[in-house]
Amino acid sequence: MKIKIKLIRTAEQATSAQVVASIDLLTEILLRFPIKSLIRFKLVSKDWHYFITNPKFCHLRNPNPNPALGLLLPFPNFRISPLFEYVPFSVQNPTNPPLRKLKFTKDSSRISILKSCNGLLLCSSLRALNHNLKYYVYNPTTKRFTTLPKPDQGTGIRKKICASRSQLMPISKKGCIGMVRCTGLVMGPLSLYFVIDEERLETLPMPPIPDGWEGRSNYYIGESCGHLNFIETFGPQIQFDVYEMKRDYSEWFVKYQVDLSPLVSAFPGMIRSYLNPTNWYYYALSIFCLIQGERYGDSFLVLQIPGKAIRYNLVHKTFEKLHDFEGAEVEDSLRFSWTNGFQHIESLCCV
Amino acid sequence: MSSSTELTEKKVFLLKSLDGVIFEVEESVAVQLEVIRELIEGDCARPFISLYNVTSEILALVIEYCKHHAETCSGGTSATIADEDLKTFDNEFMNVDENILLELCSAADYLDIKSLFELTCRTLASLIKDRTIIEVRKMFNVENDFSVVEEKAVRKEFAWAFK
Repeated sequence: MKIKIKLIRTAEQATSAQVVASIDLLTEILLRFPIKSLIRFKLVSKDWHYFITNPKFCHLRNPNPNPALGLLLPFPNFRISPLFEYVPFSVQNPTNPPLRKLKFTKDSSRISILKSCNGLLLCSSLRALNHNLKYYVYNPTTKRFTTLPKPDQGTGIRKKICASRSQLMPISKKGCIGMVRCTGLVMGPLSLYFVIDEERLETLPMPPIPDGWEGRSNYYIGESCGHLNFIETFGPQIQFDVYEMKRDYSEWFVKYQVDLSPLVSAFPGMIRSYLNPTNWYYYALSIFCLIQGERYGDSFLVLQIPGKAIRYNLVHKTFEKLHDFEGAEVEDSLRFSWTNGFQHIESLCCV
Repeated sequence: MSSSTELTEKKVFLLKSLDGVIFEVEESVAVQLEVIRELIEGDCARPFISLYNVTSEILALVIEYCKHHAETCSGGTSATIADEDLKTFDNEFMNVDENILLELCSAADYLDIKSLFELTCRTLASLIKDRTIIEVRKMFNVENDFSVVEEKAVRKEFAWAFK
């Protein structure tokens, strides 16, 4: 496609030179737009719409880093009321919820999100029996989805992996599906990673377990902007280390040290005073996710305390309330106790 | 520049714009125009190098930009100071009329000056990104060929982007 877009000077300008910009030039400018503007500018004309939707353009736009904008949290009674609550990561410039409900397909059974990765959501039908279970990859920014081949069709999955190599990696092994960026995959307590390019599994080293503890404990593991982070707490801890994996997957190193005592002082409702302070559930607190900022000082934790989501800056050790959860809260309970939520990242990635 | 006291004569090149204006530039400036770099380094430059796609008004700006960048980079100041200086200069340099900016962008593309191209593209993007659709149509001289129904459908589908 070759569109010539004329950039004509207005009449009042004496020279009235005519600049004819090639599509390449326009592409270069468009590539530097935020995704929200690009979606809006689809309405400029049909040519623009076609161009912005074109997989080639989307692929070019994709490597530009897109920060996570917020968190999608499935309602606690998701099976009855399949809705999501949205927590924007900025108090000053909150973003709009990308969705309230997943309704991109007419799949009769309801759909839930399994993973979020670089702006794409891996979803599956919620109520179908195993043999009817369908997996989808959905882009909430472009509202496009694709249905993944059934996990037992090994070659099909492999094809999908190849087709989407630079975008996301759905892999299937014994019925478990995960998605990662190009480099690897951590499968829960197994601590393995999958080398996509060589299609092999490797063991991931893990941080040491402290004396007196027998196995892995309550942990968070998550990826943000190409960094893999790990947090583990043994008992009711509000002081803990945040580990980051080295690029070569050789070892974890302590990236941040966190002390949440000031948070507890500010929100004493976090303390379940009727419990013994050594009780695992003494603090009503959970980690939703760790978000790496574009600059070093921007990295933060998104925490859950009763009724609220908190943003805790890992470098400056400051915190602020991000969001009050909808509806009334039972005093010291955590509404989203079973989920880390799903990061929302704008992406033009074609699925 | 400090090198002016050197005995060897400094190489200069003559660049001729679309409207026939001739600019005399030093080698340090000329080599930043990737499109003529080979010509210069191969020592086969003719008396005038004609740049058919660039007007004198724009070429003067391009030369100003390259000159400042060449001087700052060879000035012997520390990298951080030079960086700061270039940033300030770039910001001021971009403070021009939007049409000039478009022409500069187009010229940087044609002359293959990567840093200027990146700078102009980025500046244009940040200028345009928050404009209304109507303003963008006007700027790029594009006609709206959506029907009311089609437009409504897109607005509905991507309601979050239009809020």
